[in-house]
Amino acid sequence: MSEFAAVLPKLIMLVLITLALAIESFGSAVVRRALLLTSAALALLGFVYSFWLLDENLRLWSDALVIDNFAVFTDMVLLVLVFIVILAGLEGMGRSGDAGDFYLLVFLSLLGASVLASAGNLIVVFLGMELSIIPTWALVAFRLTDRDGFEAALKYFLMSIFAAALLLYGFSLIYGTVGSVTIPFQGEVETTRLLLAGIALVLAGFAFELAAFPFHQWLPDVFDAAYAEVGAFLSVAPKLAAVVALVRILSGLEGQSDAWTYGVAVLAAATMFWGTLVAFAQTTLKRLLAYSAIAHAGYALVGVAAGNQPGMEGAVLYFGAYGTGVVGAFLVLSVLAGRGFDDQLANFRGLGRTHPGLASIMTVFLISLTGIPLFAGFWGKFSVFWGAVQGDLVWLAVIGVVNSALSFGFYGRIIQRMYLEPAPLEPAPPALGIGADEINWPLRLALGLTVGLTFVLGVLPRLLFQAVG
Amino acid sequence: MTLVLVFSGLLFAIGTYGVLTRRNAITLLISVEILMNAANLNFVAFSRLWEPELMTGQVFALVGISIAACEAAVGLALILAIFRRFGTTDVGRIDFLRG
Repeated sequence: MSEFAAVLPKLIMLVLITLALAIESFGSAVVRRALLLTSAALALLGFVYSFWLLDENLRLWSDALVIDNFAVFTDMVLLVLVFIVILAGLEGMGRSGDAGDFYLLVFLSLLGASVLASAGNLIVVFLGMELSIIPTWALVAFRLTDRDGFEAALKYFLMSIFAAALLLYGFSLIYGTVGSVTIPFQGEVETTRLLLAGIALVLAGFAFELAAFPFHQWLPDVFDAAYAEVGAFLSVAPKLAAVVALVRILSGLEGQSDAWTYGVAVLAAATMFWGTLVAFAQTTLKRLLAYSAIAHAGYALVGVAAGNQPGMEGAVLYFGAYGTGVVGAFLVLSVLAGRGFDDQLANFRGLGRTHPGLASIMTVFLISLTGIPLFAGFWGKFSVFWGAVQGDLVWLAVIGVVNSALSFGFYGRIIQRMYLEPAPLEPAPPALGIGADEINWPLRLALGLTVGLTFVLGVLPRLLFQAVG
Repeated sequence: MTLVLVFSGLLFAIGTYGVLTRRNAITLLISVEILMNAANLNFVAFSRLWEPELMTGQVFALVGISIAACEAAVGLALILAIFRRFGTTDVGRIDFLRG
């Protein structure tokens, strides 16, 4: 397979970026719409093409890019995700004059995430990580009229440059002790204090990107202030890519697993507990999803801490499996926002009676997020906990299961609100005649696709496991 | 070699101190630049130690510098927009989100 064919999904992302620039320069709404639909079709094409790249295991350009199954799986998830994000925003953001800017930033971050997931040396890891983060600052501050967007973007910006600096310093220490930037690092490495400091700093940098416990403060503000489509993108794309890169770096340090296993395990446990417990106190759906996203990063870290093959594979497929639920929940949020609801949890009261269709798919997403069998989210949790048990971290798996059970408390509470509590008595906003305005077809297609994926991956987990393993 | 490491460690400490104590967005940005330069210094020094003819470390330092420039470009635009909106770049006073 030629080099060109092996990086075709990344080239498609580059084409998407140029298309977004073209959208920017056309004034006509019809052309903009056509270009956006073309982008969506190209993303789907790249997804289908990626099936031919599975099990190829190529290393390109003096090991700068690695096209193994983790990388291809990430590309597939990213391309489906961006397909859904384009469709979901087609009638809303896609109609505004800012559509070009908006999708340009999304596609840039997409390419960065894809590069990060296939990085074969530390330079490319750093490059990919920054390319996946920098455009998202502007995405968060996209609503120029919105005070909260600016504040969230400023906090996000300051924390992420600090994390990037820590990561760079950690890389420099690893390079200094190992003598090479290519992953996996060659030969047995002596454990020195310098190397341990390097690993700790790298973990801190990645913990920020994943929003793990002590570095999580940016996430709730960012989700709160950003558009629902941006939330859907951010909760999957950069995190999936970061976990792939983290797995690659840690497993590339031959014979050093004692140095990081307990660090990552403690990080995972703290992140799961913090995310789950604080989620109980939330009154808006976006903040609830943010804290649950923090907890979910903790579950993925359980697989990383296990350090064995099943654990690592579990950590990577975790975000794919979890993604269907969280993206779906954000899409429901976007439907509700289109009907004049804000994201207060109280607005879900009686939704089962007023909008039965929407309530039932929301239930599917929430159950998948909890991790109940027959839905995609279950297999993500199953695989990381299985990895932890295999890797002699039974206590960590037990903490994970306890947190999953606890998390049903706040997910289930939304289901209870939708079906068991009466709708609010105050008159609904006039725009919201019950069943009057249908959901537009692109958004409905995106919702259908997400529900479909949640079911299909839940019933046929082999698809997930084969792609990763 | 030790001297370079001590110097870069000192820069790292200064940068971290700045990030933790300062409240002005631009001062914070400059503190982070100091941190990044500490890392770049390490790369160049280690490159001489390990593989002087390959220059991997020098390339990493160049990539680090250019990425720091990208961050500053987007970040300063953001800070400018915030200054126009709030009339301040004091992080402690731009604090309305809760939860």
